[in-house]
Amino acid sequence: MLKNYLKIAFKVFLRRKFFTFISLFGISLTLVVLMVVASFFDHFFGPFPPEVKQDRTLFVFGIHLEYPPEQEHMGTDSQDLSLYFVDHFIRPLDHVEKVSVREEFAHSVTHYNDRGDKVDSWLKHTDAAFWDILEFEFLEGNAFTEREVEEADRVAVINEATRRELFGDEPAVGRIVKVDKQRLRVVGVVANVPIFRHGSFADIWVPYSINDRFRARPLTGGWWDLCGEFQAMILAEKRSDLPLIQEEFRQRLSVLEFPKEELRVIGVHGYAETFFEYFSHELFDLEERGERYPRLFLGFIIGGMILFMILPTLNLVNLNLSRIVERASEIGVRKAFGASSRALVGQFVVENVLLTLMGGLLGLAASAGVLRFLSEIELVPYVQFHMNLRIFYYGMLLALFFGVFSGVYPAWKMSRLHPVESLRRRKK
Amino acid sequence: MRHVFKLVWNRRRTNLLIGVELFFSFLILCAVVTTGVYFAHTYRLPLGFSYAQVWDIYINEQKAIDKEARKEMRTQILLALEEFEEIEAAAYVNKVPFGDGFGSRLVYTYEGKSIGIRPRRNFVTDDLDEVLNLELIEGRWFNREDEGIRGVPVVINREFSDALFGTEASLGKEIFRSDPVFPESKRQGPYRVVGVIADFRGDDFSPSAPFLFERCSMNDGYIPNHLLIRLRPGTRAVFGEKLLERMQGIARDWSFQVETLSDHRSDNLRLHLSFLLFGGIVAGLLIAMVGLGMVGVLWQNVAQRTGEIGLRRALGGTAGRISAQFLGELLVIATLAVVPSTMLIAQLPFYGWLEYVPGEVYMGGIFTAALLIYLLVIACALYPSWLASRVQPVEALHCE
Repeated sequence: MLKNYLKIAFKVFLRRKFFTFISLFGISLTLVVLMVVASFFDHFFGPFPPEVKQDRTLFVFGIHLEYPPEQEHMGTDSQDLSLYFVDHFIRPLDHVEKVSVREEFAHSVTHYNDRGDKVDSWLKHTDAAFWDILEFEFLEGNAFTEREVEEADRVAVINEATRRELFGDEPAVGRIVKVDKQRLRVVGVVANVPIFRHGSFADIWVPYSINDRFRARPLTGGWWDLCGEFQAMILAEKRSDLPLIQEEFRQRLSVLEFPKEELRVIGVHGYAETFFEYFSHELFDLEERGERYPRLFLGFIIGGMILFMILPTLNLVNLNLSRIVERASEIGVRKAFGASSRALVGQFVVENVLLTLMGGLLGLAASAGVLRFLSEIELVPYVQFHMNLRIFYYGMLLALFFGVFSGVYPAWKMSRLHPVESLRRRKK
Repeated sequence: MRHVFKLVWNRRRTNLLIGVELFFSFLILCAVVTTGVYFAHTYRLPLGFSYAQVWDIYINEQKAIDKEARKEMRTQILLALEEFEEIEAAAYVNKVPFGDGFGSRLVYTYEGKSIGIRPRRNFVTDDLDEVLNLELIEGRWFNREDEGIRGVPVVINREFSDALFGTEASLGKEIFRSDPVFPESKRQGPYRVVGVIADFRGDDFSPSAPFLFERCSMNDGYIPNHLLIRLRPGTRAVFGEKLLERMQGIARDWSFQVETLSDHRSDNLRLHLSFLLFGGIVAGLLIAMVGLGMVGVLWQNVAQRTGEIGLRRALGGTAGRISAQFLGELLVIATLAVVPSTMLIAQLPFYGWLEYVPGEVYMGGIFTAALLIYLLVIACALYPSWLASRVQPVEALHCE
């Protein structure tokens, strides 16, 4: 049965090449745009090297201090974490395999190479566990070790682009980079990490201990001890442990208060969250956390996609509707020989789905081209957009959805044609 | 004419779909075209400052540091810059031209009256007028003598002055500000107007809108992190290395990033153009798709209505009139789509959106978009209506 449907469908496609072309053009075009957008999202949120263990990674981006209402500071205040905080509230959590600290994202510095050219690099201060949680691709040398961090050795890992700017493409291990008035010895060179990878991105990675501002401060016993310069990255033992860690962390903080200080703090709030959760909360600019917001954000994305698909869908529906007449005789004959409306709807939907899937394949091929082009013009530094299985899968799913959606109404209308009426028109 | 409407109504189902498609196409076109017109409009306005030979140094300072120590280092950096003869002037600024934009939600009032538009603002130290070559038309820029006098000195642009004070002189007036998001927060001020500049637009695509510079004193708790310096013409880029070394000598644990305003400007241009280009390409392709779809539908229509056309031909309708009829029907549908969406779009300014977009730009955008839609419709109708006009009465009547 299906085979027959497909045969008929192909015959129909070939009979009216212009219509087939319009449909395919519309479908593949829509998919190209959606695919490119999806690919951006995927590169932003998806597990790409070096963040391949993303599905069991949590972040603590900071803590919020809650002041009593009568104090001048209103509401809450957001602070980065101190080493003390990480050691006392994050490392002891159950189900945690590794914890890494790093400075908030990365910061850009200007330095000069031996020829006196200006070089701008993103610098990130971090620790040794960073290299265990993330899987960087080393082109030469190695990461810095725990001992090097402890002893504040002036070492650095640089990326390929920085190596090119500083040393041409020559081997760089053992050579010196001068950044922030410090002479750092290169111990390793890694492949470029796109700026989308918020957790790992930088041009130069150095041990946090080489800069005084990241060293541990003497403790004062107040809430100020919790605040510092860091964010933490937590690798859980298993993916299923994530909620447990989140809950335990929340509870540990909920008992904290500092009522006796000059500036009173009545509550400390902090959240261990995935990057997607963090991003959705930031987007809605909320201090309150909850499952609602990531879902809401996802809803917005899907809503946006559907909105974008309205026009192409309408177009396809319109085309299909106008072609009813063309098929009237066929429908009449089939009905006269006892085909049910449902069978006819099935047939037309299958036809439409076939068409959209063909459009989908075309669209995927075109998006691969567009993505390659976008990578080549370096739209986003260091990002190599390419198709992957996940995107392919989403694309085909979209095409399918598209096909069913735009096929049902015309099919239903077609199947309702009266056999006599449609046979009469056949005389044309 | 009336019968064209009737014909459209008789086939309302099919026409509704075409209409809805045109409706959405028009919305998309409006968005893209208005953005384009707006960009072209603002790009031609004068910037109000000069950016050549100006560097932007971003200071990434240690967060957990004593406030006094930080203030001390910031002051020293500013003093150190005076040693260099390559540097003409320097000032700390909160926001940099060609950067994130100067939008603000704060509302400024004078004697209880506020401006309809939220002004844009910047928070800067003395000497910025020399750094950016700002042209004062009244009064003076703020300086050290303003220290300690009641009221934070501000310099406003002419548009701000006109909006808040009308024809009154603005110099010496005291204004207040408040934050509408936190209505219970204290009213802040007073701010004292000491000077008026011609205009200041943050970048090529910023509107010409009320603007104000607030003075940041080196005794304030917060000093902005961007340092703008104007260099003597002919200073080479290598000077940056020397400069960096000097600043790093003062603040060992801080990092510095040196960029030029010209670089910022080209980044900003690229960003805006690629945004417009992406929107334009997507919209263009969508519209092309709609156009092709419409050709298909019309073609099908012509085939279906052979009988009707044949009848008209037989009764003496000329080929031209038949083409005109098809075109007319489509134009009616297009109008029925364009009118409601124009009404919809015309609402936007009333909701406080697009407050910076001048009316004529907005109207121009809508008008151009409507023109494009009609052109599209006409282009799409050409071939099918030509086909219709070629229908022979004999052939048409034969099929009945």
